[in-house]
Amino acid sequence: MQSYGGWTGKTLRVNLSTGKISQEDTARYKEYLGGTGVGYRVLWDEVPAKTRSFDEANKIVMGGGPLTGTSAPCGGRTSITTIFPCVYPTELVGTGHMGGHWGAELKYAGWDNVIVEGKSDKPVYIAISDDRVEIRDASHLWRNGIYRATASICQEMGPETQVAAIGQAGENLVRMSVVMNAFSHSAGGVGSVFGSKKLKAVAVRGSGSIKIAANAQEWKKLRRYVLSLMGGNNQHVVPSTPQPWSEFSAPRSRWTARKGLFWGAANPVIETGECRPEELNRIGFRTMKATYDLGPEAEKHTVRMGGCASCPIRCHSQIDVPSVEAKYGVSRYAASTCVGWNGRMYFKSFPDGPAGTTSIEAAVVGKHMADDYGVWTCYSQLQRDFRWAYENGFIKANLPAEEYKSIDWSKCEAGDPGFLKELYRRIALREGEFGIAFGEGPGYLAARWQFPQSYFNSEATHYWKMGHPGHHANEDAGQAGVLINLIYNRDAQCHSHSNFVRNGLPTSIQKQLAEKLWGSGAVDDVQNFTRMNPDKAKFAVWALLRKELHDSLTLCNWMYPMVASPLKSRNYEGDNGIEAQLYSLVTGDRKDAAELDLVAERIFNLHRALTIRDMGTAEMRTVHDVIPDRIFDLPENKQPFTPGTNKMDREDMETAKDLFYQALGWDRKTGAPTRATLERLGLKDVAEKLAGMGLLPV
Amino acid sequence: MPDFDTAEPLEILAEKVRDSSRNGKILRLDEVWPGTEAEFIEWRQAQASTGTGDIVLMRERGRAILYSERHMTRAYAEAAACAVYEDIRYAIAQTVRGESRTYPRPTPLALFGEAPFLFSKQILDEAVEAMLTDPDYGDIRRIQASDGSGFLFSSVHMDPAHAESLAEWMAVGHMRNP
Amino acid sequence: MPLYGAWSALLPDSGEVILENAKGMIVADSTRCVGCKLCELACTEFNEGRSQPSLARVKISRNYNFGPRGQQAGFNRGMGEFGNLRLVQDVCLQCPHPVPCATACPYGAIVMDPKTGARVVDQKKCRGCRVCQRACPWEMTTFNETTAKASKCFLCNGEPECVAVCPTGALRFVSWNNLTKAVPVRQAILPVTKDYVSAGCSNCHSKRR
Repeated sequence: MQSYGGWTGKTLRVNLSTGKISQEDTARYKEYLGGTGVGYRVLWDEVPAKTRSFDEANKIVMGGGPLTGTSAPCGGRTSITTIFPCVYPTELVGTGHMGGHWGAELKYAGWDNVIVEGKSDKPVYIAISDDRVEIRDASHLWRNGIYRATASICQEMGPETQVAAIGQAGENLVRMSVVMNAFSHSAGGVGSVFGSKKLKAVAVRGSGSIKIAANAQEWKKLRRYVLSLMGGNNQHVVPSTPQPWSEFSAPRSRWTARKGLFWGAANPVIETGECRPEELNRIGFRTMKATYDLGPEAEKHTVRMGGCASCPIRCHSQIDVPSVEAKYGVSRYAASTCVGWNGRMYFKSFPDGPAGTTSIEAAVVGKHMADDYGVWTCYSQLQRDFRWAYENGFIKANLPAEEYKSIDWSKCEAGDPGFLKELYRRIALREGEFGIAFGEGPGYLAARWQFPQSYFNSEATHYWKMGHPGHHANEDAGQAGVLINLIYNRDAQCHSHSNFVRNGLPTSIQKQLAEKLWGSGAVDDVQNFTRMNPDKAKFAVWALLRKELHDSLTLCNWMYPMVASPLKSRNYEGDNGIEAQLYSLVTGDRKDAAELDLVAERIFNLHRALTIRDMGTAEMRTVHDVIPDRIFDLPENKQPFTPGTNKMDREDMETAKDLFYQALGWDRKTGAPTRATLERLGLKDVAEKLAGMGLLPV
Repeated sequence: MPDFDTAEPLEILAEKVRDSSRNGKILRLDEVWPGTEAEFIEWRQAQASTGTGDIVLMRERGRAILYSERHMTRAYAEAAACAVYEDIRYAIAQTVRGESRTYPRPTPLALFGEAPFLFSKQILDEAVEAMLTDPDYGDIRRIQASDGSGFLFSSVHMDPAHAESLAEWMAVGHMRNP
Repeated sequence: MPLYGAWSALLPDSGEVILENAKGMIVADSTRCVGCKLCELACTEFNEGRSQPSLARVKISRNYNFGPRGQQAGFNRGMGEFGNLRLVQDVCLQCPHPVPCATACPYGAIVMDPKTGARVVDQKKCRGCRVCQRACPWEMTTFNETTAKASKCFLCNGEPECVAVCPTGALRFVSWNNLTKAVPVRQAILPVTKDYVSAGCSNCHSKRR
């Protein structure tokens, strides 16, 4: 790897059973890039079929990729791949994705990835200081939250250490648990795997460097080009209010900066103002996320924006809500983004309305509880499950009477954020039936409490399959959205498609852009979908492959791909080859978009192969790629493909699967990758293994 | 910035227009030019100044408007012209019909509280109420999302069912599916 | 112009005393810093071709978690991402005379760039002794472990890369002002000055001429 930029060339392996710490050449993973690519390869090669999440044989693969830690815009992501605990009823491969600064620091320490194997019998943490790696005693950290663990480790290793840690939830093998770094950046669902290995944290500080293969001028020019095409958060390319410089606007665009909108708790206050596309030194103001997520009341609480390493967008709001300290005993300072604020969703109402001060207090208390205990809320599934179970009497029915009485439900009814301290503590510490059940994740919860069919078919619960919710499905992108939600063993965490359809441009322009990429039939007017066509299959495939690419390079899938841009001079066209250009210049391994997409396809197919292997069946189409009935049945009074609904049609979705599998080179009947496809992608050994297990379609 | 001692009058005028456009404001021709529209066009063509090609003279409903396309899009200029120089109902209708046709999507009432409109709630409510019974605006319909927020759409350009579901998606659905 | 008389002919490494002020400097607005650390990366990627925050000549990472004073205040009580959310950027103040790093350098390796007035480490003269790292009260001299030479902010020949790359304009390149009394110091310095250097000081600063 010496000749390449980007990679450090070293992969760290830590065996917690034997205490052995070793180093490997990353070269063997080059054709899998990093992140999820390496994760799936390690799981395939080293973790036996049907290994369970908490088995000693399960492994954790964490790290970024060649771009992580460089100034590649939005290149600060980390993937944590393992056998994912929330998958119901069989634990299968899954990835938690976190931003922040950990992945970059790992690269500066000289490591591309960390593979953790085995199990410690005592609480430990892994301390990485450049090439000095130790397994250290963590008994003084066990039973403490993520905040204390982070602070403690920083005292041992230095205040600039980046710490990825679990809280009590992970320790207690709560399936709905996370690994956190940098105060607000969590990797969903993987915390309890750390806990099962008695691994409290992986902490890293690095003084080293990453080589950029291209010369400075070339690199600078590419960066400027990428920034010139950049929009706001989620690559929304129009502002949210009419502004002189823009032809279009869209009320729910994340390009929310405007005159009269301030970082109101900045000292002194700063106006976000009009941020024109050519003002590259104002990109960081474009997305005023606090008011976007929390409503207008949040303006006066906004200190600034923040987020991941190397990202100019800054989509994490950093807020100051002084009242929570005296009232609830949590810090007034909080940071998060999107669903991270959804402590509010546990409550039906607040005394001062849905977007008043109390709702913001609830968001802050919820953040601190979830992020310190390390509980995963799974795209707000935990909140939805709680509300549904509460409103439909399942909590009362399933808790012993004593336990039910011990919970102060009046606080929940009153919209009192203090309720969250009780709720999260019980879940993190597995207290009682309530704590255990809600920590199990939707699939196990539903089984445990025997939820009826109405739970699985409820728009209110948003349940999809296998213990996870839908995430940007038909409501965003019709059939393409549904297809995207079939593939993973957790919620899809794919935004390639939703970024595009929500970018604020008129559908007619989106179709023009789509014409060059997948065919203009790929996108419809939202809520006015048309029948399936091959363009939509191409769109879904592109979205998924790019997501895997981003989780391996790494780049932020909430910003890339950048196929639309805010520039009228380019007819709003972005550049579908940006990832390849960044990859080529950083590593020196020149690949064009198609060549890099082939690598992504390899990674994507390996995930599918793992799923097939560990489910013990190739019948993906019928057994795995399941679509909840509600997509076809609700709302009752609408017909699919009529204006005003995102309802889909069963036959049409069968056609969709046909076209989708065909586009991927997968067997139409089973949805399993064929030998030809696997071999085309350099996965001949995977094909052989699957064939030997009778899991290769004939 | 032109040197005012030596600059051509057209350059000076252009700077004034640009300055306004930069601040989101359009200018009526009669605010900066004493003569007729035809005289202005003739005068402009006769000027030696180059580099003022970004200054656009736009005619809207009998009025002549100036803006700089370096700092303002035509779409915004049209909206600003409507908002400033037209009656409120016409401004609302133009916007709503435009959005229903272009995106397509219904228009949140809240939009009219933003620049370039800046209508007060009272004025907006009164105008909308009047429009709903005015045959000139027979295509403008009002709908409400489940959170109470109001939208307008044009039935000429959007199916009511589509408008309703999009309003719900914009007001509530987006937040539930962030 | 050598100012320590005949002695200078005997001491080839004493170098010139920097007397002139710098023409420009970088100033940092901590209200605008959003913690992306692109400034650190621009500094080293565009100058050394490597992403290396530890070498960067503008400093964010070391203050990111707990602020400039480290962990003294616990969690959520100090500055930084784990404090009151304020991120403080450390920049070179391009000190006026007497320039601490230059004065401490035994080899006269820190000189003034005539174009910008920036105080720069002459890589040919630097012997890698690291004294300058302990001489800067703001701990702004860094060290390139690969070349074994010291490094410091040289304003990128008048077009600072960090300034260009900042997504909120939190760093600006402005005319120089003396901010050495305005910015709290970061470390206790090692008061090392070679006698042949300090002897030269009396040429200007002593009543005995």
